[in-house]
Parts: sequence; structure tokens; C-alpha cells
Amino acid sequence: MTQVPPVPASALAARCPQCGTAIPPGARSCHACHALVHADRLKQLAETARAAASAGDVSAQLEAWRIALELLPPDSSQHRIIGDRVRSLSRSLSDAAAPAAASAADRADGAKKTWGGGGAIGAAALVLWKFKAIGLFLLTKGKLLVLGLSKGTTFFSMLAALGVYWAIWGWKFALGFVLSIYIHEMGHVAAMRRYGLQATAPMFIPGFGAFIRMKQHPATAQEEARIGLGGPIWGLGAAAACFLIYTTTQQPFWAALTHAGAMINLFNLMPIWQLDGDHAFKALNRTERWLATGAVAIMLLLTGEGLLVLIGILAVVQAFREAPNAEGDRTALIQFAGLIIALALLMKMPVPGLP
Amino acid sequence: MDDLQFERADFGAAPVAVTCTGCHQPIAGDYYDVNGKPFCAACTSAIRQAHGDSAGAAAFPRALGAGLGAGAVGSALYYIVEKISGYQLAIIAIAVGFLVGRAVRWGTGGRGGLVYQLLAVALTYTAIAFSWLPFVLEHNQEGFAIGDLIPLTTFMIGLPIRIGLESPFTLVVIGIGLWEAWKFTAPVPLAVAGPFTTAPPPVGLPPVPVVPPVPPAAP
Repeated sequence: MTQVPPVPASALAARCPQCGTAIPPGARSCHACHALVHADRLKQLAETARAAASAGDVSAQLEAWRIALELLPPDSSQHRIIGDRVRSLSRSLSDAAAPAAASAADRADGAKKTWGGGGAIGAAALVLWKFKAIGLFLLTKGKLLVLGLSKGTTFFSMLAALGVYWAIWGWKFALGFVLSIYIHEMGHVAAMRRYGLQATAPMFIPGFGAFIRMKQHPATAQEEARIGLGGPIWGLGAAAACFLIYTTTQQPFWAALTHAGAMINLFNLMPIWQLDGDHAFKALNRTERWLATGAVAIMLLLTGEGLLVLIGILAVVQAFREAPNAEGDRTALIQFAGLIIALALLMKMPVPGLP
Repeated sequence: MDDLQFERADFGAAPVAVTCTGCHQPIAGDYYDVNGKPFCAACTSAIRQAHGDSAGAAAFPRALGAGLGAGAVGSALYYIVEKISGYQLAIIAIAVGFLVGRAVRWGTGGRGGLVYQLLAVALTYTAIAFSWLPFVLEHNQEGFAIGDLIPLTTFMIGLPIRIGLESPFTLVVIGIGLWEAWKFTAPVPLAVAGPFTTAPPPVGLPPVPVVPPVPPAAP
């Protein structure tokens, strides 16, 4: 009989409340009677998820079930059933974008029909409704942007990054650049919150950008694509806002900030490593990958932007590789292509002082 | 979902004995927890022995060769990217660290260790330094003689530091590249706990609750 020296007495302290068998640290169930170690917490989470389901809050349901998955043995039937539920809820959120857009259009159409006879009054009501929607959007997202700064790691690493960029470019541009990166990262955070996914707060690394580490794996390829492209979509919003200010004020500072914002977001669309483009490509099937490559090629021909050469080469490599998600994701394709077009055009905008 | 119970894990059959992750045999008595998985005493002993073994005499040259090859690919990558895109992307230093780290780890048969970590870091730094060589050669119109080899090498080795002092961005990115190489070649820790028993303890030993009991609600 092989002799193995006994180790950590402390490890023997935990015993199964059902049968008294010693439970190794980190085990999720008793090896002898299969009693769940985190039974009470699991019951609480199930209750939270059920309450969220009654309230129609899919994000809260996802959040509770995802935490439950981490407390269950991976080979148990409970893990499999909850895993299926998480995937199903995640799909319902991923597919929700198109119906939501359709419903908004219907509501706008309805507003037109109702107020059509009133002419100018109807048009004004429609404009007001749209402003209300935009206002609500800005309020909720603005709240998230402010809340993000309450995290110590984000705030202090952001200050450090600001200090480094300040030394090189001056405070004004440094502040704009850091905010552009911050808005990009908060786009990921917003998408992750929507899917109830746990993640660290954004952390800035001067010269490198910033990153967020996910504590849980996305349930589906579509979910991963939405989270991956959430950053560049918000980043595009920031760059477009700078562009609008530039067109109004004609100050070169805003043109330079537009260019820098567009560049960091375009760079992130490279389908490689941990970059956002890679997350998007995981959801695309082979045909969609070629269509995305086509969009990159067209924009390269139109703008001659060097980054598009790299994105195009990597996209071709990805298109030749086997696509794990055969069903594809049309929304991810449209978002990726749209981002490529918009960001490439913003980068093409001439910046006074730049060749 | 409503009928899910959270008292016991359901594995689809009646409770069975713990199975050893190594030999897949049911464990009747004592078992060990190795990196979170149950192993029988014999398999645990074998794992401990294998973990203590060195990677072998052939491992170092293999790791060196693979690391040099990966470093050369990484250096070439930097030049190619600059040529086709017009951007000098310092972020490629991270890719170099990744490539070299993976290659050295492969050379050691997945074991890693301090010597290999130092090797991977040195190769990554050298690869990053020499990725600027084509640009240096392009800018020197007079050309180089054999006698310039040593001064040129010394110049190239010191170049990342010189560039880094002027551009903190580059220095940070190079640091991340070196960290990647260091991380990939780190030895895999072996956490063994136990022995544990698959049988319940004798009657009379009070069970220790894992989760503190929730106090009953006030009536």
C-alpha cells in the first residue's frame, strides 16, 4: 500500500452537516451522501431568481442563476438544468434587440397615427417622445458612468493614466482621451450588467488602455459578442459626440479627440487574442465572417486606413478557420460592419496639424 | 425549475462511491484532494513523485530552441505589421511574450520552473529589442561591417530601455510582454489535502456545519 503523508489538519475541519463526512476545501457536495455544501445559499438564490422572473427582470434572474451555477457540482443535474435556463434567458436577451427596435418603431408609428390629423401637433409630439426616449437613455447610462467612478480601482488607475497622458499631451487632451477609454469600458460593463454577468471594475493601464476581467463565462456566443461589441459601440458614441462638437466649434482639439477615440475603438475590433473583434467573430458563422471581411475590404478601399489592413488580414484568417457557432449571429455581423464603417469614416476626418 | 431541490446533488443515479480521477476506480476508504479533484492514495503518491521530477536533460535545449524560434517570429511580426499598416504597435511585445512563454513551456513538457521563467523573460526581451533591427539597418545608409556586430548588438539590447525612458507607454507594454513570458513558464502548484474518508465518521462525533445555521424567524 502506498503511503502518503497526511496534510493540513485544518482541511479536515469542515464536515458534512448531513452525514458528518470530512469535506475537502472547495468541494461543492459531500462525496459520501451528496449533500450540497451551499444548500441554504442556493435556496436563497433560487428564491431571488423566481422573484425576478415574476417581476420580468431577466438580468436579475440571470445574475442569480449564474451565481448558483458556481455553487453546484458541474456534473450534477441541477447544474445542467440551471445551465440550460441561463442559456435560454441569455438567448432571449440577445434576440430582444430586434423586437425592441420594432416595437419602438411601432410606438412611433402609433404616435403618428394618433396625432396625424393634428399635423404640426402630431409631429411635435413625436419629437417630444423621441427626446424623452433619448433623455431616459442618457439618464440611465449617465448614472452608470458616474457609478463606475465610485470603484476605487477604476478611479485611482484612471488618475494614474491621466497623469501619464497629461505629461505627454497636456491635461486637456489627456482628460478627453482617458474619458474616451472609460466610456468604451463602461459599454462592456453595461452589456455585462444586462446579462447578469459578474466582472471586475475597469482597470486602467497607462499606455495600454484599460481592461475588465470577467468572473464568469458568457453562456452563449451571442452573449459574448454583445458584451465584446458593447465597448466599441459606446466608444463610437463618444467619438461621434466629439465629432459633433468639432463640427459646431471647429476647434482642432475636438478633431484630434475624435480621431484618437475612433482609432482606439477600431484597433479593438481586430479579431485576435482578447480584443473585442475576436469576441464578435466567435458568434459569426463562416458566411458572416466573409461578409464582415468584405465590409473591412470596402472601407479599406474607400479610406486607405492602415489599421483596416491588419483587421482585414486577421478577418480572412478567421474566415478560413472553422466557425464554432454554425447558426451565426446576424446582429453581431451588422454591429461589427456598422462599427467598421463609422469608425473608419471618423478616422478619415482630417485633423489640423496631422499629416 | 420550481421542482428543483437544493438539498443533495443529483448525479442521475443512487449515490455511488468516490471515483479516483487518476485510475477511475471507486475509492472505498481514504482519498486525497489534489487541486480540487479526488484521487486514491496510489495515484496521489504517483502525482507527487512526477511533480517533483525535473523536466529532463533534453528539456533545456528544447525550450531554448523553441523560445528562440518563437522570438524570431515575434520580431518579424513587429516589422511586418509596421510595413503593412504604417503603425508601430508596441502591443506586439505582449504577443512576443505570449509566443515565447508558450514555446518555452512546450519545451519543458508543461512543467515550467524558475530557470525556464528566466529563460523566457530573457528571450522575450531579446526578441523585442531585435524587432527594431530592420528599422536601425534601414536608417543606416553607410551599411554595417563585421566589426560592427558587437557594438550593434549592445546598441540593440539597450534600445528598449532607451525608447522606454522617452516613452513610458512602450516601457509598460514591454513589461506586460515580459510578465506574459514569466507567467506562462511558472511551475504548476500542487495542492494536496487529506486524507479524507468516504465513510461517515463513527457515531458520537458531532458534525461540523459548513454553513452557519440560519436563526429561526421570530413568531
